[in-house]
Amino acid sequence: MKAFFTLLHKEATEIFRSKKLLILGIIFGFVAISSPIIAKIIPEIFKNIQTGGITFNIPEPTWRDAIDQLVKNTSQFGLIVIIFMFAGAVAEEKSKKTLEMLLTKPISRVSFVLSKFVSAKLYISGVFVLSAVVFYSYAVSLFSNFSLANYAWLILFLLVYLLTILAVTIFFSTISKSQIMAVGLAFFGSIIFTTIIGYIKAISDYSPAYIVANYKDLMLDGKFANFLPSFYTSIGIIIVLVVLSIIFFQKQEIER
Amino acid sequence: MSAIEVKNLTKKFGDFTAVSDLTFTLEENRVLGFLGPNGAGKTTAIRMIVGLSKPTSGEIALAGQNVLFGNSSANHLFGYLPEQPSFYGWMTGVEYLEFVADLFDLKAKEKKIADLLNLVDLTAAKNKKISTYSNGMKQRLGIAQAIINDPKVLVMDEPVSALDPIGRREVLAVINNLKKHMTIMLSTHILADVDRVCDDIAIINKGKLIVFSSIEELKTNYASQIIEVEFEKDPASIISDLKKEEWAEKVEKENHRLKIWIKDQAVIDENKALKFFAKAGMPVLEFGLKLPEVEDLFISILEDKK
Repeated sequence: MKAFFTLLHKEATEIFRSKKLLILGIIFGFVAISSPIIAKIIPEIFKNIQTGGITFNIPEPTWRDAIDQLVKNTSQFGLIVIIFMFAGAVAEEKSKKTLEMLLTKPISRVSFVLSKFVSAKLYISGVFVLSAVVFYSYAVSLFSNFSLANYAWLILFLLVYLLTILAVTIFFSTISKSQIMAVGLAFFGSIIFTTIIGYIKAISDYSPAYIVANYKDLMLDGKFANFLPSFYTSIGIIIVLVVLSIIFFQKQEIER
Repeated sequence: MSAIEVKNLTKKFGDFTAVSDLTFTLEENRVLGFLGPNGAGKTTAIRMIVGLSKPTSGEIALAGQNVLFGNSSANHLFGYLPEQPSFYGWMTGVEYLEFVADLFDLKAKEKKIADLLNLVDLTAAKNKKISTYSNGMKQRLGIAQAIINDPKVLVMDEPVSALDPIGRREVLAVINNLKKHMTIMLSTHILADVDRVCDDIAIINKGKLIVFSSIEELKTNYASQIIEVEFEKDPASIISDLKKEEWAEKVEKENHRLKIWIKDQAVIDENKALKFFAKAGMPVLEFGLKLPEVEDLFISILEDKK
């Protein structure tokens, strides 16, 4: 257990010093601040570009538009930033050969993989929740008040969606020899898990991306139970991918 | 108890056998030079010995504990230094050692680390990022991390090959210091270094162990004596006649010098060599008898096995 916490501390320090935390903060901070602003100013922009003869009927922007922007930006930027930042988590240790000396120390391979996942999970969760708080304060000040409880469910489901992408990324990082290969496979895997499953009607309710497609219902009526199949499936996918990462990694020979 | 016990170790990559039926036992507090030409299977064998690579078959035990691939239960007993060790460049030297000390859950790690930094002469650079270290400094940090747990066995893969002569000398001095406290297995292709630090040598070629012996025994039993002669002028003209002499087993030329492997002591006693040079009209500047070095043995053994 001590070795796990030592590895976790090393991972946490590395994410901090390599400025990955800063980049995460900037991206999610940008999404949190820009989403309400974009929702607010887009109708203004349209009004200003109206030309004679054509009348745009633009409704007044509300907090719902800000949420639209938040979900869209989080799902897009989140996917890109998580894959690019964490695809090297295991693959880079293999390609840079730092793993060689590490695995001859008294650490289990389980601890190694878990430390990668847990450190990234903690940082992503922390930064995302903080950015969600910033978004809420900002959206409420720009628009009208909206249900904090519904919003909290939305953030929880979005976070699980992001952590599913993280699990996909770490899994492909574990089975890849290089970071580039891991990035490619993680994009491919995430698209399958998040998008393609959503198009298959029979299982679309279980897609980790269900929240991205149906968040409006949640924000309006707060019926989070509809989202639980997707939530539990996502948690299941995360657990299965972490376990598979460990199993694959335990069988891997470290090449020179 | 043996420090290293390797039994019938074999590694295959498809149809290619990189290591074949490797078996040897190394006693405690010995230094083993693990030799072989490039591609002989040294690194593959070492990586199996430290548990990084999975043997196709065979058994390995370090300090009495079995080494099993994917299982770290024997890892506290040995230290490992790979060829050209890679570190986390964002850490400082002292941070890396603290990290490794924590993995071993070492008590009083500060003193241990201070002593190690002193031993490998990195105290002044301990707070610099490892990414700024030279190859020699990285190699010495690699040694420090490998011995931080006071291992019973230290395994090093080409510990000096990437170093300049000064770095090499420094690292060899460290190894010489360590040999009093632990069993060391090191692979190298710099054979002069083996003479300096090793007690035993194992030579592998094409994955097979061809010799395992103490250096002393090998020098006594295996090799003939060598005469080294320096001439006033180029001795190229006498080489073909020299090779025909029944007492000269092998001749090597380097500029104005000749190295002649002789058959037996009678060559010296009867002054056969000097008589030959006098007859050939080749003035001799320097004439000496030397015992074979590991390099000479290595070449002879490999040629014999061909």
